[in-house]
Amino acid sequence: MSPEHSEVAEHAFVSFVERHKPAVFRWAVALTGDYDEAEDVTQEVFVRAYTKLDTFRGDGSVEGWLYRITRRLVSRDRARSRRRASLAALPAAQAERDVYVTDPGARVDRESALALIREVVDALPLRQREVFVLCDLQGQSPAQAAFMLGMKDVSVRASLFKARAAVRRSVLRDHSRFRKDAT
Amino acid sequence: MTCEEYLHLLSTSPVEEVTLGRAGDHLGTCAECNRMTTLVVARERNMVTALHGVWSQVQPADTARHAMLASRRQQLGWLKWVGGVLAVVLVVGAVVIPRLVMSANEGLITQTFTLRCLAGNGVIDLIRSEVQSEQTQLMFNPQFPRSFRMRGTPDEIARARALIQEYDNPGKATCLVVPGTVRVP
Repeated sequence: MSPEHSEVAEHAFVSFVERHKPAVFRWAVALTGDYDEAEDVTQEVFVRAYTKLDTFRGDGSVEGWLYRITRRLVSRDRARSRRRASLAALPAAQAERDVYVTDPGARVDRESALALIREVVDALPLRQREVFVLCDLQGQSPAQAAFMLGMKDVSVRASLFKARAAVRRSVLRDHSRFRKDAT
Repeated sequence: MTCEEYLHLLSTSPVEEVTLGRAGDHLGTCAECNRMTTLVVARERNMVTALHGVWSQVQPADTARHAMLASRRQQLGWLKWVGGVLAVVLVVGAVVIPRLVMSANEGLITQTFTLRCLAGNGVIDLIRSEVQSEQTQLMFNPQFPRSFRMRGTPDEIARARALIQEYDNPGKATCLVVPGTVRVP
């Protein structure tokens, strides 16, 4: 490849990342519930995407392809992130983490946003979490989510039904007529 | 619609649907369900806002550059790995295997025996039954029936020579009685 071609390809890839990175990062945050983990996953997604761009068949959406890469990496890294979480909970890690707080205001915003997302992450198993995030938080239709997840439409609807019940249960519990078996 | 029915609807339906039709009518009459609906809707809207508000602290251009670099490094690593494997195969093929063959052949000698009364192919059968080894080679050319060649260790050659001296002697009856041997007229 000539230097001119290489430069054009690099420029195209930078545009590609600029266009898709926000969505990939959001998926990564929603699936991991952790910013650092999400940054790592996002970076790795684009490494894979760059390596395998020529194998992308084009018979589906680029978004769906990137989502599947993200999901695979999150599943692969889940054990690693569990280990990291246990290490981060150690008192020694707390002091080190505080060193990096350069903008406390922004940090609080990010943390409160993350706390809300974690409610979903902690309440739901992975499959239900994916469906809930894609459909109810990102506005995809169940059919679109089914395509992205490689699931049947009816399975997505069933998972969404269960996910909503699990997420809303904590609020509805306060209602005097709420019965656990109602959901 | 009762509160139970409404709560069931609220717990499983999209938030846009829980204020429409009969559900909306119920909300107008039940303050508690109304409050629950407000909480659920507000909480999920907050989640949507929160998720759409998250941003990566790494610039996309940096992510792209790092991805390209890492990808090339991985490809280079893969090439190095393949190159390494090829190099090992070449070394094994070019150095190790010939050495093994040489060491297996080390100490082997070739000797041509000339016979006096027995035929070469008969003596080969005799030697094969008495001197058994993987590396022993016995070669017989029908054009020269009274000779054969043997390749083996010095010990095997010596044992073969002893056998020939014992049986290939025209002056002794043994030359006639070796089972399976053919006497050359």
